[in-house]
Amino acid sequence: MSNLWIIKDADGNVTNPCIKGEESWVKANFDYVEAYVEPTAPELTAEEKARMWRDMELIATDNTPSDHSQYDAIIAYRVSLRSWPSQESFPATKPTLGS
Amino acid sequence: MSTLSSLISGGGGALPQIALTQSQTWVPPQDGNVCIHVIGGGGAGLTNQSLQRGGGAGGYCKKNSLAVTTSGSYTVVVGVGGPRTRNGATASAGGNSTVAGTGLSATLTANGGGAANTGGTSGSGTGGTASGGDVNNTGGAGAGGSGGGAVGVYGTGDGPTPEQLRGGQSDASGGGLAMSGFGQIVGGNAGVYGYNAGAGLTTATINGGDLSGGANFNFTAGSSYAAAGNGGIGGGGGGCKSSAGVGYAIAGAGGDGLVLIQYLPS
Repeated sequence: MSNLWIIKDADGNVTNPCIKGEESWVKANFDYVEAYVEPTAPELTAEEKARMWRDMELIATDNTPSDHSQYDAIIAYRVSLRSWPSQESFPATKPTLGS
Repeated sequence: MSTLSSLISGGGGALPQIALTQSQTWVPPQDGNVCIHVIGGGGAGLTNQSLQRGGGAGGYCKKNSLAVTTSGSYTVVVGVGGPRTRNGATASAGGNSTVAGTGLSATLTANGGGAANTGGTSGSGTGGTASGGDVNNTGGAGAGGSGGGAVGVYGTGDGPTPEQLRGGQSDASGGGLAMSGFGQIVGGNAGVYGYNAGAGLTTATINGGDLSGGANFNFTAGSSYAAAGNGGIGGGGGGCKSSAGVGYAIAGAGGDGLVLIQYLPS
């Protein structure tokens, strides 16, 4: 229970968009009260989740030093990551390092 | 039930200093003279790919001195800040905070800050107004491409200019609310602009300190997660730029309101 409330007047107009208080106190002090429901972010789509993962992989491999033992594989991996959203394998099959 | 949500110590020394963070009927714990600070909730910021606007700060109302006794009673309402929203969802205004009761000829009122919106050429949140006190200051407004406004203790609250990116700076900034005492309220610093160009996040100082606004956040690289700064107590939330390809952009929440009651030396 968040104890957040919208206060209205007799005509249903909002007089206070959101206050915090225990339910018993608020209902004893205001005639027209509505529980405030915080907006919830919609679930990410599969495409959005895949893009988030892709972006984090690019950030994690950015600035890879040229003397890294897997440098060539990482560069190829980053190319695959960048082109992935335009391919049929997106978003179901993720690119993998070394593939 | 009357609940003292917190009792902060600091500059007030042995004299009680009481921070009320939720609505209640407040009965003074001892006789004396008190200073009452009332702060409205901050408005939330807005995010989408073309509009990134900050929310307005709550108003500020102060009763310099009021004689209270343990037989007195006060109806205290505490407004809440507008919550975070994602990717262009409608932002919410902050709630109004009020104090009414024994010995007060007028209700001390600090209205909530306005939410940033998509209207007009500005659409940033306006500062909340105030009335009924010895001091009644309007909160700072948010701005396009910037953060949220700050609560104004000594005048109209600071609001960032468009594209300034930072949050509004409290005109009573210091060590934060815990340093308050003897009729003075102390805030913190504004949120500092956050930025990501594709290689690491900069988020450590993006939230506003007490009474200050949250900062803007800007993802310029095609990336996935961007979150603007939240307002401190009463401060407006920051706007968030979600460039193309950003999957999850979140605007800053407005800071919750507060009623701070300080016993004064006799």
